Amino acid sequence: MTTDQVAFKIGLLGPSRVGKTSLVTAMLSEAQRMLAGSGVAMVAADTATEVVIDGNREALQGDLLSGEFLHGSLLGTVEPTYFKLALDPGVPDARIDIELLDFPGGWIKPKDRVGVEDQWEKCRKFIAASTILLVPVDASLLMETTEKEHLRLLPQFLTTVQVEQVARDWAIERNRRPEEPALVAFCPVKGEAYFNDNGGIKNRSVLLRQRFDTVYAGVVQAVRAEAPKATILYAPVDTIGCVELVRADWTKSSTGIWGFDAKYRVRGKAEISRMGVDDLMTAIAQQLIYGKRLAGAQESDDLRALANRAAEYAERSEGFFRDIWLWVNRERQARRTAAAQHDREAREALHRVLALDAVLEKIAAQRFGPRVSRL
Amino acid sequence: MLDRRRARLPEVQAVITNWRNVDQQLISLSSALDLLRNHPSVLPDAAAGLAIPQFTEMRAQVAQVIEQYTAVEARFSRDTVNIGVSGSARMGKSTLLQSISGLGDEQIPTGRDLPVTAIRSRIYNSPDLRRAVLRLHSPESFLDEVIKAYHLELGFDQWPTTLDEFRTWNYPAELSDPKPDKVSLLARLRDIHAALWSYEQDLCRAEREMVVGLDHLRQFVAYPTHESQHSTDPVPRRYLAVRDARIDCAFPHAEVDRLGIIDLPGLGEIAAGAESHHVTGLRHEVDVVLLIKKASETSAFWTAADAQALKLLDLARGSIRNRGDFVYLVVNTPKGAESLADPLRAHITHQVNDGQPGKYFTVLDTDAAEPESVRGGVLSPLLTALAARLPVMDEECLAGAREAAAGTAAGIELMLADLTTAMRSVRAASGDVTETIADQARKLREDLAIELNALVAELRARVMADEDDPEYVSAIKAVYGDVVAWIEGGFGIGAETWQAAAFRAFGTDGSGRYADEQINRIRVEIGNRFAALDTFYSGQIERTRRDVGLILRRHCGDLLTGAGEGTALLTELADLLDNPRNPCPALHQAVTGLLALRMEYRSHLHPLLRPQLDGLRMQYEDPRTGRPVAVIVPELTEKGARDLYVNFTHLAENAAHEVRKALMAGEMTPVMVTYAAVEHFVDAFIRSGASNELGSPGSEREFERFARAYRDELWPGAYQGIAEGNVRYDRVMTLIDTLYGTLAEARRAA
Amino acid sequence: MHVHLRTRGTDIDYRFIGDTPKAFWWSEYKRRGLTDHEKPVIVVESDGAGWRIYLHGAESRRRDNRTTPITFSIVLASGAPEHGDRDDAADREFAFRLINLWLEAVSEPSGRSTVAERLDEVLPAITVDHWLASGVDPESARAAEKAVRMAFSSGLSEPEPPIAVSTSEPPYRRWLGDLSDEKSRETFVAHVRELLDGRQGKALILTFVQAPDDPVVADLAAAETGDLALLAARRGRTPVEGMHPLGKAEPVLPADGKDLRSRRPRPMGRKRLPLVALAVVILLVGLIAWLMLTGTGNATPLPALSAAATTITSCPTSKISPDMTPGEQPERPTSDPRAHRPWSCSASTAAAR
Repeated sequence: MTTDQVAFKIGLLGPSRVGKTSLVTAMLSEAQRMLAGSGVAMVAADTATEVVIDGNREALQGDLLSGEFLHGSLLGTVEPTYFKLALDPGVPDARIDIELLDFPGGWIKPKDRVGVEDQWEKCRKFIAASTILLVPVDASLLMETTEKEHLRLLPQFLTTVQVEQVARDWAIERNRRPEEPALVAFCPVKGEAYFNDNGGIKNRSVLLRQRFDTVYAGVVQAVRAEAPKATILYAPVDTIGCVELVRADWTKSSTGIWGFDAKYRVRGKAEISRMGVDDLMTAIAQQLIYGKRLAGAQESDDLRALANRAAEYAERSEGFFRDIWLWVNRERQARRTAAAQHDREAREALHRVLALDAVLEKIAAQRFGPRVSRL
Repeated sequence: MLDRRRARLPEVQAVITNWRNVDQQLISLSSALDLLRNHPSVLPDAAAGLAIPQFTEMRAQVAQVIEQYTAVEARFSRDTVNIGVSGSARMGKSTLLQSISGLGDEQIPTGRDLPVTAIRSRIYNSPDLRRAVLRLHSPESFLDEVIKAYHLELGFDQWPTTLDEFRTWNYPAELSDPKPDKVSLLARLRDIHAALWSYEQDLCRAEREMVVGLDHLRQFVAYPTHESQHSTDPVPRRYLAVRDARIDCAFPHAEVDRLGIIDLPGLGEIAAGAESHHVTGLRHEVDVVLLIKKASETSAFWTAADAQALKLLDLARGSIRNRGDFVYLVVNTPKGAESLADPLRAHITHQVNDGQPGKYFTVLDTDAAEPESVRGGVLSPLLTALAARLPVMDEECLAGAREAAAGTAAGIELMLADLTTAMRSVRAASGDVTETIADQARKLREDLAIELNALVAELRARVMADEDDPEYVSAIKAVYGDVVAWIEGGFGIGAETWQAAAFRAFGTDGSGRYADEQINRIRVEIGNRFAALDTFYSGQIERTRRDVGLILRRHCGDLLTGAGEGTALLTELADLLDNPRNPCPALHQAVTGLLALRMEYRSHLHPLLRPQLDGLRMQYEDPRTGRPVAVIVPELTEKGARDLYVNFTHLAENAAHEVRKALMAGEMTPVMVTYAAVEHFVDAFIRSGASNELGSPGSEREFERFARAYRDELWPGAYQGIAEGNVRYDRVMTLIDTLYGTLAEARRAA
Repeated sequence: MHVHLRTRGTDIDYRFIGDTPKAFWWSEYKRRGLTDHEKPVIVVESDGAGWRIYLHGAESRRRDNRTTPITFSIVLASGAPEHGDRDDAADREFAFRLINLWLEAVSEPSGRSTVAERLDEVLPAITVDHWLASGVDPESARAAEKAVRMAFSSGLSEPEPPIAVSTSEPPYRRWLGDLSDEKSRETFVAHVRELLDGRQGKALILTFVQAPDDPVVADLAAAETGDLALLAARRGRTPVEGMHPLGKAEPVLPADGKDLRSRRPRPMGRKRLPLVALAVVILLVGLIAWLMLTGTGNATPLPALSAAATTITSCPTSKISPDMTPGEQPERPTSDPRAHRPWSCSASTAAAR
């Protein structure tokens, strides 16, 4: 039972508490900033998302005011969590939904998938249909681990094995549909202390990149091997900006298990200053525009073929291009209505729909910031 | 004349030095021979020859030579011609002195009956000065030289050692065995005792010399007068504190500038044991002696005591050939006693000169009380004679010393020759011994190489290990924990105190200065606390030295047992390698290099880690704009002080954390340092080649030298006889050579 | 009764110990925008297949390897027939007590709750880590169940549950109150009791809801038959005063553009409507017949019947103006069925479509 809603899917992979919720919150906030004044809004598309993001924002503000920083929401996610955002030009039926799936790292092990088959299957389908994978990476774990004994624990703490597995499956899936875009973005987060372009003093970005390359080599390799055409980005992100690490300790619990505890503080004025999130939005916009252009490039065929194809995709009710076609068709519809109806309302609707287009183009045309590099 | 004398002084002194060296070397040689004798490879019968026969006698001879030369030295270093005036009491010595020097009773007391002169005076002709310098006893010297002698004479077996003891000493009124001389001694002692109050202060002066005007001199140089002795008042005896007196004044007869007159004590007054001492003193002090005899009713002839005195003076003559050069007899004929003079003169001629006037001794006539007579009758002839004879006397003295020296030297050289023969017999035949030594040396080198290389490999494995060095990790953790505790404890003064101080400082200087001070303080403290790692570093390095030392000890037989381990052992080895006859400069350098190894936080690590503390600043340059930005700008309120505190704890924790990380991840860990050092050591010790700068033939040859020098310690019992090149043997040979050399020097200088 | 326990270990991420429920039936509530099952919640369902309970949010003292606090989830489900009825009463009592304690914990979030204390007592870190490491393992599942039972069995001997059960009859069978309101809680607990005893319905703490007129509430009311005991629990809300009855179609004009999805009229496939209309007709006929037969009868069953009728002919939220106020006794059916409002409502609805 599908809606003919345009919905793009993004997978978020990583251990719980790496900051996926914070990343989504940051993306929403950043998008709102980028879209200001354009007539297009980015909103939380359902109550759950809205409440979670509000809660996240509130917790963040509270922590910033207190000065001692505990990094956002205190508890890790338990089950796969869906976020729904929407680009809304203000015209009904003209929304573009963006769905994100927070896929907790511990969810993957095959032997305990018994009992959650349907959940797992749903997740798997979602990931397979995602054209974007975001992999937040805990920069403080990478940079503050020096002892060899602890370096050995990093794959477990970062769930790199699970991430590699999911990414590989995704890449295989992507490779089956080579005409569709594929993007993986590795986003080091909590790394405000290692950059000096957002209020920090020291620049240790090179070392961070080296560490990342060492620890995530397997993941990157898996993606490249299975989906050679996929775009792989390394895009460090500051979701807060005014927070940095004070110190981090590896301590052994009474039961002999190593734990990692990082302490942060608010630096300078307690004002949020995001960095790098706009690059993610740019990447998303680029995909949408790319898809639209591709769809548009095929417009030179005759209309029936187009209509057929639209119907075909709609029937298939899956896949990136289905959504693209829906979008394209809606636009077309709006044009037709405007042409036919000649009234202000219809024109207004068309105008808004085109505004969405325009703003997406604009965002897609932006260059990536200096932190981003292709892998 | 005096100048010429003076000019020969350096030679004499050089000779003395040489002979002193000889003495030292004899001692060294003796102990080296002892060492050699005790060496396990020396057979007992060979050992018998390894000694200096009649060692003590030889030393005594040398001592005597030195003494003789010292006398010559003293003689040559005099800057006046000294005339000694001697004679029994009441002979008119003092009068003569007065006549010569122009002084009066106040300075040179004379008197009719009792002996008056208590203190020996020396009077020097000085055109400018006119004063007396008294040399004082110290309490110790007084008790030791004066009182003790009395006690010994009196047969007391104890004597006071401090003034207080003396003060409270209980002298018996009578003796148990009252011999006449003892009784008078006791009486004198009691007098001295009773008069302590008068001279005590002088004894206790800080300066040992006292300058006194000539007008006040009498009390210091004369016995109390008869009258005062029999008075009821207590009798001062200030002379007791005086050792001797030197008087400078201008002699009336200014013909001879540099003239000195020494008043010698009446020889009967000397306590028995002091005679030889006195003789020595004479020899060193005077050029010529005048023996005065007064023609008076009581003493108109030459007595046995006089003969005794003459004999003693003769002893003082030493090497001077002619008795008559050294001693002149003076017949003092006071006015009105002319008739007595002739019989006396005749008696003297008979007794002393064998009936021939002037045969042995020259006799001068004078009236002591008349300066003119003294001048004409004594001084002029005397000085004229001296002018001719003094150089000859000097030469005779020197010749005498030379003779003694030559004799002793010959004796020593003979002894050395015998010793050398004995040494040769002890030495084993060379030849094939040398070959086996080379083999042994090579084997030693190879054995050491194996074990040392194993040590290097072990260290390398630790460096390359998958695990971090757990000891280093926990050392760093401990130090880090200490720093964090300090920070969390409110930077050592407590959170409240810190904040209160900050708030107060706000009031006076605003926030900037307090913050700057604190930041610097924090930076220094963090650096200091991390420097506590030095204990760990030095412990690690010492452990490495110990490991190396143990390997060396294991292979070096008996050579390195006994020493400690680690640094002590390596230091000893370095000394052994620095053997002058068989030097091993390359090996020595390798060992000293390992000894010098240091790893210190402050000098080696902190400079590398300094950047980690860069976060501890109040201001930094914004990388985006290039403008300076303040890290914290607190409000000037209590809340602001709290904020400042919280911020500082964050900055400090972050800095400490960064330092810890850098230490963990660092290139320079103790294991790396010790690995590199030991590897270098092994290279230098085992594998170094010939080097001109070091003067080294390379490690292989040096091992041979090493083996030769310490063959018997390295392989104890393996060889018979002492090897040539053995260190003890060498030492003896070296000393023998040196002795020859010194003796030759002495001969040349004389 | 099945008992499932979910938690995480120091290194091992959240999962059910030993045995996982077949379906995560509770996560649907999040999809519907009602409640976040990863926040402290209580979800109770009771229907023909039995009752089931989802509890989440007790915070353990244990910490994971990132020093994050660890939470517990407990899922209870009424036993399959093979267990027999003899356990049922005890099980129900157990479940009731547990929910009671859990509600206390949820409503007073500061400080340590009794549930968390009790659970930590029987579930030390080593044990949990060990069980989680064993994966799918009936042994661990049994042990976990035993531990949970043991943790709360002592509660059975307690004279009074922490939250007083309201002795009086709940004023409404479907209502929304506030989590912070004591009376609401008491009523909630009473309602849970009834659900466990067999009444059909749901008792839910709704973390996304802040007011009785939230559209999702109306959606829920429209979609569910049976009792509804709801406590609003959204952060930052102005507490709901008192208890608000929820009725049949509570027509609410779209107040703001917040939740577009709930605005959209639920699509009813064209195929369905005739069936619905048919059902209506049959019921009406049945009703008339029954009334005629019983005569006056008791007024009491009628509201239930009319409520049932209302739910069957579920009205969309939009475009129909409400005339009926909930709780009000409908008029007795007259001989003219069409005159009866509800039916005309449904009829007009059918016509509009």
